[in-house]
Amino acid sequence: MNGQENDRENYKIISCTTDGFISDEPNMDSKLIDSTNVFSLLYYNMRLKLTGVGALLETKYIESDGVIS
Amino acid sequence: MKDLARLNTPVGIELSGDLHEYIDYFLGSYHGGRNESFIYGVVKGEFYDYDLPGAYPTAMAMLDYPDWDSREMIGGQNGDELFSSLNYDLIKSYTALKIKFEFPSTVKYPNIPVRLDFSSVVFPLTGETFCTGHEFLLAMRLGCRIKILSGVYIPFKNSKLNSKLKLKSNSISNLDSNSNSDSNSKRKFFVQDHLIKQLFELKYSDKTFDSIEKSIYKSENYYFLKQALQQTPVQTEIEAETEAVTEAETGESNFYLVVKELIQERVKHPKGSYMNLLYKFLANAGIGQMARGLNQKVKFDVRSNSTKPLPSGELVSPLYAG
Repeated sequence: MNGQENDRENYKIISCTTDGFISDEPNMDSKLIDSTNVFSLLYYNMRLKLTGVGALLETKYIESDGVIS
Repeated sequence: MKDLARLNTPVGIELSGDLHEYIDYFLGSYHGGRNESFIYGVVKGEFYDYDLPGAYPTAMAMLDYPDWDSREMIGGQNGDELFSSLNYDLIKSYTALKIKFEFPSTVKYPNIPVRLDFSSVVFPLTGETFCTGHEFLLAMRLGCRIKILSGVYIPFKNSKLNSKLKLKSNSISNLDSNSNSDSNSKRKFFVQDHLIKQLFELKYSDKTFDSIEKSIYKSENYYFLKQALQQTPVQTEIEAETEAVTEAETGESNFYLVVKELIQERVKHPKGSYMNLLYKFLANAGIGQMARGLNQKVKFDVRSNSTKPLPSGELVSPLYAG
């Protein structure tokens, strides 16, 4: 980046792994509850069967500023 | 698969039944975990790290034994044709495909993995690669144009639910007989999602059709759904057949039972305790054991003070791992 900051307008999802992602969008865990996507529904319902809680996403950490390398 | 290396020998091929005919597809479509940054450098502001809770054991719980006798070789058709014939049956199957693909330029996060070299996997807009049936389904939802070069489809032993869904979605497919437009394809997906949502939500919660309809109403997909429902009696079909969906049809495979037992054992112990963490580790390690040694990774061996290829084990299977 040569010391320059990223353009904030480009943010949304800044990185992802197989089982999660980092975003500047708050409360995405609650926003996805009403998803009609078939994969979301399958996951939601399997979690419900396994644990009694049908959450799709959980917020693990909240961080301010940083460096993606 | 205790000894993966010996499978690719004359003796191994002869002794492995039909497995050798398909295993390369499944090995090819196993790309390992995704780990990707879309920007790099200094980032300012507040950032949220979201995770799927219990992703690996939850995915493992959805597995089932393959129905080898019902396997089908695939090839030569385009993505729409494959989706029309198998559609959401692909979810409850072990499917590995060799494809050529092209996403619309508007897709920001393409999902098809392409191996760049021995260590890197990228997710481009176009390319040629191996992928799983699940990756194919998601790509189709994103509007990807796909040509199936070849592949194999092995359904789960317990796929009654999907058979039922297939019957329903076939009737939806008839809607599109006079048109091949993008909006019709999208409509088909959204109606099927809506249908699955109703089947599951009625089963697992006390939500009514009304509340489900309201949530769909809010969705940006409502336009397509509304169009479809106006042109077809599918809603009536759903109501009539939903009652027929029983506990058995959702399937409780041995994979599910193992994961369920591990979770039940785990919650008996306080969060953060040794036993709680041990059962969490066991649940997470299961899927890792199914993939161990597939990509011939080397690992440092302290006893010989050298690096050695990680051996496969009895739980290893490229079908389950992918």
